Amino acid sequence: MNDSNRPMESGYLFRLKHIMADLIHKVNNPLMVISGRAQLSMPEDVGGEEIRKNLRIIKQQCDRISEMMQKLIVFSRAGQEIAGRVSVNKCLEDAAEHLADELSAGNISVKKELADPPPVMEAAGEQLCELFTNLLMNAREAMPEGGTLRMSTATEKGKVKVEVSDTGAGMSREVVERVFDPFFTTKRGKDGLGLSLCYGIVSSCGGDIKFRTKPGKGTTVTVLLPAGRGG
Amino acid sequence: MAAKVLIADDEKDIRDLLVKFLVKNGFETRPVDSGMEALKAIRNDPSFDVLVLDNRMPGINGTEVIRELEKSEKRIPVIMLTGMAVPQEDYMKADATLRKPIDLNELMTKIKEVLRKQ
Repeated sequence: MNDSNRPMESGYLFRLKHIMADLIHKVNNPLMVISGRAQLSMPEDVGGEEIRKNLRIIKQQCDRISEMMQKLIVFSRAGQEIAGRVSVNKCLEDAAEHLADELSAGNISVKKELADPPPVMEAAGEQLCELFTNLLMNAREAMPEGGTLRMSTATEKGKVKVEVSDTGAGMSREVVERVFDPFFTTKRGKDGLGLSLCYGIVSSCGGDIKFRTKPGKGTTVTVLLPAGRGG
Repeated sequence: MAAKVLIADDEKDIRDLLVKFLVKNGFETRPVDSGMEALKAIRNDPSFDVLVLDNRMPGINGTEVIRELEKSEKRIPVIMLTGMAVPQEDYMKADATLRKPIDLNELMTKIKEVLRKQ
């Protein structure tokens, strides 16, 4: 069994987050100049159609880099969102609903075991939904041939525990060790920022995220979050 | 009369871009390269209609500029540009916040909004 038990603020990740914060600043400024200059030259009265098309592509690609930067902002904890009381069950169910078509098309059956009463916590609801969407998406991608996705919530000792399990291929120890590293991915066409983003969201909530996995047997992700009153 | 926009950003390329865009859209502009220069410009010329302010600048940053303006009771609408997120209370102090890289049309919309409110 390969477990990821590294502390949430290991020296390596702490340094990496600071490097990321500087990188975001340094990339954003030239990106704004490139995108802005393209926007300045885009109006209908400037250049030919071919030039305008190229400028539109430049702007679109700048937007794409910008999207990646936004994910890194969450990872580096530079993101500050408005926190409120949110129902963890609702966020998890919303995320599952959002992916329902994809899960069903992928021949994946979903088993839910949600705590009653629903746990609540102080968090930015959108970020929490983003966290769960990423975890569910990962589980879905781990089962290209179909399988069972289990999701559960529970309240334990003042913490909200959320688990997402798949019956997919599992991960090797080498992969588990790098799983939160920005841009690390084993999947074609992915930016490798999904789990870095999850790490950033959980750590900004003062929580913890761990993986239990065995090649060929599947993976369980456990997220522990501080419960709010009533949770 | 054209509205007057004070632009404070430590990056020359961004100042040049914003000046070009705003002048093209009929605004009068004055670019400065620091928070301190922005405060000085506002002290010397009370006729600015809006301040477009980068948050992350050497010396005093954007949020500190807003605090200084509050202390001196100089009232000028502020549109803050930020690559990183700003603490919530500072967000609330700016009249609008745009995350870099900004969409120029969105900047125009925000400027028009704050000018309408004046």
